[in-house]
Amino acid sequence: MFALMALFAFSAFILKPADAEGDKIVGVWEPGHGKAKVKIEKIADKYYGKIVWLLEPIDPDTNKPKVDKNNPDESMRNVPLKGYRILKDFVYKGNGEWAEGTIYDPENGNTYSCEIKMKDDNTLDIRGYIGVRTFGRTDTWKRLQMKS
Amino acid sequence: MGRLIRKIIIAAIPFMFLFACGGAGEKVELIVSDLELFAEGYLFDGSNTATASWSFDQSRILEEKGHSGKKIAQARITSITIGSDENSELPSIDKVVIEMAASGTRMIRIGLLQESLEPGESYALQIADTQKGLEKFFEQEEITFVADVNLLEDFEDDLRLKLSVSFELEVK
Repeated sequence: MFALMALFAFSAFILKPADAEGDKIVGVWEPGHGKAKVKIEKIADKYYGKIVWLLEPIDPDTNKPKVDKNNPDESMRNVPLKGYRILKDFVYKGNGEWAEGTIYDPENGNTYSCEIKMKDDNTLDIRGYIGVRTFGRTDTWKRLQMKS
Repeated sequence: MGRLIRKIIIAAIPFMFLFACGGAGEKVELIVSDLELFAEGYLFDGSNTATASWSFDQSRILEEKGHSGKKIAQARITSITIGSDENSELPSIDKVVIEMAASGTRMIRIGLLQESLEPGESYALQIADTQKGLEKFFEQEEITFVADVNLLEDFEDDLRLKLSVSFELEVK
């Protein structure tokens, strides 16, 4: 019984700060290209990011709001890009790193493995890659509402 | 000639076992209803996230369906409906995208609705063709249904939508 109580007390002290640290990524971020803004939120115990603003929200070909026209699943090509969840399933690993996630590129319909490193409170390094982490590309995202 | 037939039969036995073990299982329908997608207001126009959690136990589901001791080998969504109470107040909504998330597997998109929602009405979503790895969700203890609800206006109240999801499960 004592061991169980000790375990609960230990969890309360140990797990809560890690949760709070992981939640530092929550907020609205701007990718390096500046064409979108992405809101990162926590759903259940993972982190997800969706497009909340587009520099060019209207598709010049259709004169309608942009949709996910390159999605490999044809049945989902009418999903609007504004509101599209492009970052999925990130787990906080400690030391300002979120891993095991994916990033979706609506420009080509490809999904890449992805890791996120928080350089400081207002800067993220987002690394997308296929297979091996070495062969990838890193983009720097800035927090929209800077924390001082 | 008899010896040849005997050899063929002996050679075929392992394959017969393989096919017997890897054959199609029984189909079971599972309807998960009375879920409430909830987003706390104040909500701004554009995409807002509403979630509903469903806790379950795979062995208990199968026990209730008369398949004790078996596992869910494959799963497929056959229908998704959303709606609201007749007396509820709804903002103008033009699109809803629904995804499924769980801790031990990857989030997948399962449905899309491209209609305006009216209180008291029920709407069937277009189901995603690709539903890869859906059975892995049933190895977890909880599934979170995530709805991206596109509002055409600000809404100062909480948003509550009823959700019902039907699965076709292959049990072995």
